[in-house]
Amino acid sequence: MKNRVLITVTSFMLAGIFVAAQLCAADDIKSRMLGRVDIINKELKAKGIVGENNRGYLEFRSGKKEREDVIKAENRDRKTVYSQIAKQQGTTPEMVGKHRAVQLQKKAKAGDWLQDAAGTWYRK
Amino acid sequence: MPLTMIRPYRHAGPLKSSLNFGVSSVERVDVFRAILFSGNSLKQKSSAYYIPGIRQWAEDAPGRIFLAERKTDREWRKFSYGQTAAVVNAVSQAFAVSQALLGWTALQKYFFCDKESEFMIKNTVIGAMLVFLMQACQTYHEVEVAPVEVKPIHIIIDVNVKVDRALDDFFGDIDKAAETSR
Repeated sequence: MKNRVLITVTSFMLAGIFVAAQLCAADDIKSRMLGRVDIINKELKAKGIVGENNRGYLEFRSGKKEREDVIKAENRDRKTVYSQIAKQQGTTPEMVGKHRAVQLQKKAKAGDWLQDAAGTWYRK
Repeated sequence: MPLTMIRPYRHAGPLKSSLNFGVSSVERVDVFRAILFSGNSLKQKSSAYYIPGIRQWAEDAPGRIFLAERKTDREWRKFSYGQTAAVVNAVSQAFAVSQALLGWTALQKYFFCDKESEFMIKNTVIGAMLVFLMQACQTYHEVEVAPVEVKPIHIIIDVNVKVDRALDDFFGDIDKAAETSR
């Protein structure tokens, strides 16, 4: 009897810890991405250095690879988010990335580099 | 089993005027999806649209296409009668199991006692009742089709919608920050 209660309580606690860990990880990623918004938009996208490709990731558009560490970190976090959403919804990270690329195309500012579904780069 | 398209049922004569597919309106959902609303109501009992019909077709022609959806990569995702019947059966089975689990919880509360041995014996009895209940539940999920008029229907495979919603949930704050940053 006591064992059953103990197992039940332990299971709930472990489940709670797991959920809390997931939420904390998601918050960490979001706060990191929020911290990069200004650099990506003002320094890189506005100068035409990077663009949004059709897979939902940032890609360099010029020979200059300024702030490469920021772009790599951003793409790494995006990949994590796409994978988590894909796992939740029973699809692939690639498909989630394509959906995100469409959203980013709609929200892009004039002059931003974008890649269409056929792979052609253009400026909005 | 490979999916194959078969010839249409009706003979199509030479084209003399514009074609009418019976579509009365088109609602654009987003870049990838549109919903076609049929102007023709289903006035008769048509077995092809109901679960018994799906199961019948799954036996007669399991490879025949029942439903097809255009994916975002422009390929077609096709569901044969066989695949659809498998999904229908899985859903009804899952429903039966959920009902059985509710019954299991109620019975456990009723029979719960402190003595370990009695608990084991009663659990065995409850387990037997659970199996019986699960088997009984399966018979409740045959859909009775009344001969009533069915309004035009549309079907959306909502995975795309869910993915978009999940992306909005996560990236909503980031997108707002990006909008204000420039």
